[in-house]
Amino acid sequence: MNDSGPLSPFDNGCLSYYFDDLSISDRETIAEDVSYTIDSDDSSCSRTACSSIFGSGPDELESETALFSSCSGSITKSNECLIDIDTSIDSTCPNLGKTSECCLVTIGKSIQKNNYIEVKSFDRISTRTIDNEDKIAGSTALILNCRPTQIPAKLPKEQLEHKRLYEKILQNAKKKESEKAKKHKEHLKQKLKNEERLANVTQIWTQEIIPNWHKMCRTKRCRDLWWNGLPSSVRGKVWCLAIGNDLLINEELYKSCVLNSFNKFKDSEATMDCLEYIHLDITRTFPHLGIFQQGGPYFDVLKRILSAYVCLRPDIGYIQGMCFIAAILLLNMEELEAFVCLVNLMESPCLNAFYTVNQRLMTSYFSTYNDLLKHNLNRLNTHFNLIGLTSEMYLVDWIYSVFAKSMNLELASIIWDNFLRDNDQFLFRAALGILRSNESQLMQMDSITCAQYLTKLPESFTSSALLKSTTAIRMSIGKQSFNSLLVNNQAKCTKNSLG
Amino acid sequence: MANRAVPQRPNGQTPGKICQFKLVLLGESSVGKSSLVLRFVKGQFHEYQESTIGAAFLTQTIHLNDVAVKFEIWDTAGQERYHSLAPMYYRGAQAAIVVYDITNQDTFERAKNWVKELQRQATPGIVIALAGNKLDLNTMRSVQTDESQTYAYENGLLFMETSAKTSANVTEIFKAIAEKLPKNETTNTAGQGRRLVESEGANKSLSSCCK
Repeated sequence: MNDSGPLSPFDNGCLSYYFDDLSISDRETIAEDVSYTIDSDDSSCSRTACSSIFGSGPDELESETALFSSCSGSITKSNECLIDIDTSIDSTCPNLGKTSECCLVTIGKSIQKNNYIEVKSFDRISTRTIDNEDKIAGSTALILNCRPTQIPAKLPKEQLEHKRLYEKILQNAKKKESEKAKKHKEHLKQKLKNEERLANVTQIWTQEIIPNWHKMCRTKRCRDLWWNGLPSSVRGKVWCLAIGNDLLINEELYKSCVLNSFNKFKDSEATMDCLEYIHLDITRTFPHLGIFQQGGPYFDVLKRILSAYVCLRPDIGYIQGMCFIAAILLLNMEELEAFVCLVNLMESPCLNAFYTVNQRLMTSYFSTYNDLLKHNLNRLNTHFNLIGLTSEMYLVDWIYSVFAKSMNLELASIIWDNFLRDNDQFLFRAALGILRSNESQLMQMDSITCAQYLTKLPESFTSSALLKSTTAIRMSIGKQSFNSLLVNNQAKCTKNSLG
Repeated sequence: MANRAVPQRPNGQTPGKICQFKLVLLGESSVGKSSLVLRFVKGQFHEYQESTIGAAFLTQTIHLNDVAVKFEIWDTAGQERYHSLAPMYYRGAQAAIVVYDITNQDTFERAKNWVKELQRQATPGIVIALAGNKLDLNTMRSVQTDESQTYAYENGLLFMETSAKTSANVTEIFKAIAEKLPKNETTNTAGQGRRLVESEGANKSLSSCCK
């Protein structure tokens, strides 16, 4: 007879008795319990134990950490689980018989291997009170309860070793809990601080800046506040003020445009085409928000604004992408304001060049951007040249939608804030800022992966990272400002097209 | 025992040869270009697929015998007004899927224009497939299969009717393209041609698709 290690509880069938009678939910709890008790030193073992309880492959439980943390989080549960076992012990569940036997063997093996669990843990212990003060200590009962009588006593050495290991587990769990609590506390503190800051900032905007817009809008104080993003409660108002209304669009004009767009006998086929495109695109605008779908609260409004725009500016018409611009405006302001802003915003030189698909101008914007890319991020520029990633691949998407499509709306709104603060050149500054803060990832990618990454930026990309890297971007080269670079490039493009 | 199919490779393992091709999708707005790609790459379908601006980029690899064919997919925006940007996207493509909607005759006419343009201006030898999408709306069909079939035959195109919604013929059309693409020559056109990628699998030998 070779006697290796302590006797397993499973040899005498005491555990199988329990498991045979368990419901699915109990099995789940037990799995958590077992994997908690078995030290995570041998993760594959505990993983197998858990997964065989669930009847799933080991791959489904992804990481040891996840497993262990979920287990330590359910210490309270473990007590309840024992109660559950007790209550269900007398009921029968024939369907589970076979599977649970299999899983018992697995658990048995892993437990044997780890030596950590005390046989007594699964003994019939009826009620337990949950110690709220110290949840971790609450699970002590699970381990240290008396050993079933039918099992031989442990050797003193073995007992000591088990106790030592058990305490180690307990310590680790305690440490983890306290770290978690600390983090949570810090998070709350940060949140509170942010809320306070936001309340203060909102007050400054509503009481100081907005009422004195023309005096204040160019001051350093205002611009500094603006840079960090506008509070959402004043965003619409500030955007309206920043965009202005040079074209003197009023309600009457809007109404007549809307009326015209309803008129079925359009003067041109192009306008008809535009209206058809608009209809197709409304439901495909931020579909994840679910508000622009047919029957949704903003379907008709967005359609009205875009159709009215086509009637007001048949020369520009509707181009895909415009729906995103109008939608962003609508999300922050009323219908008429959104229309006024849309019409005026489309006059900004850059958006106008893109929305009229003026290739000469678009090329000069791309060239200017490329100059700045080389100047600011030379290493990345070399990499892009090497892999064959051209700026157009991602810039088209970014500029047509003013970044609204490629990142979450919260982040896009901050770009919008600063776009309206600094005008066109901020679009390119933000683009370079995005590249800068993702430089290390981009350096590892091939061209298509870069383009894919940039046109759908990860959720982990934060506004503070964006603003930090954007601040570092220089928009002039030597004595040449963005605008003079642009003018130069325009001249070059004209010359090329003539030559 | 006698399993004569392509040997199954366990996940992660790639065969020695990987050929990479640029494939561009063209076609009128809302015919389902992005949906075809989404179905092919992720096996998903969204009733409301966000409209594409400029182009969207994805990759997918399929295995043909001992060659892994990696598609670099450029999914373009369909609106006519963007037309002048298109050459920027199909430049250097070795394959194209021109998509139309079988319930809309106009989109078929537009597809024909795309084919003409590609044959005139794109990479010589580009493999073009014509996809009549929205086969799930067969009852509302306005473009007859015969008509497209004849057109495709006359112009040397691959042709399939597909449905991104039901996934009918989606993988098949990409596979047909992969089969037709040359995998043994080194012609590298327009600077963005097919690239050879070193095997990522366990096989770190010097094999490449040009040997």
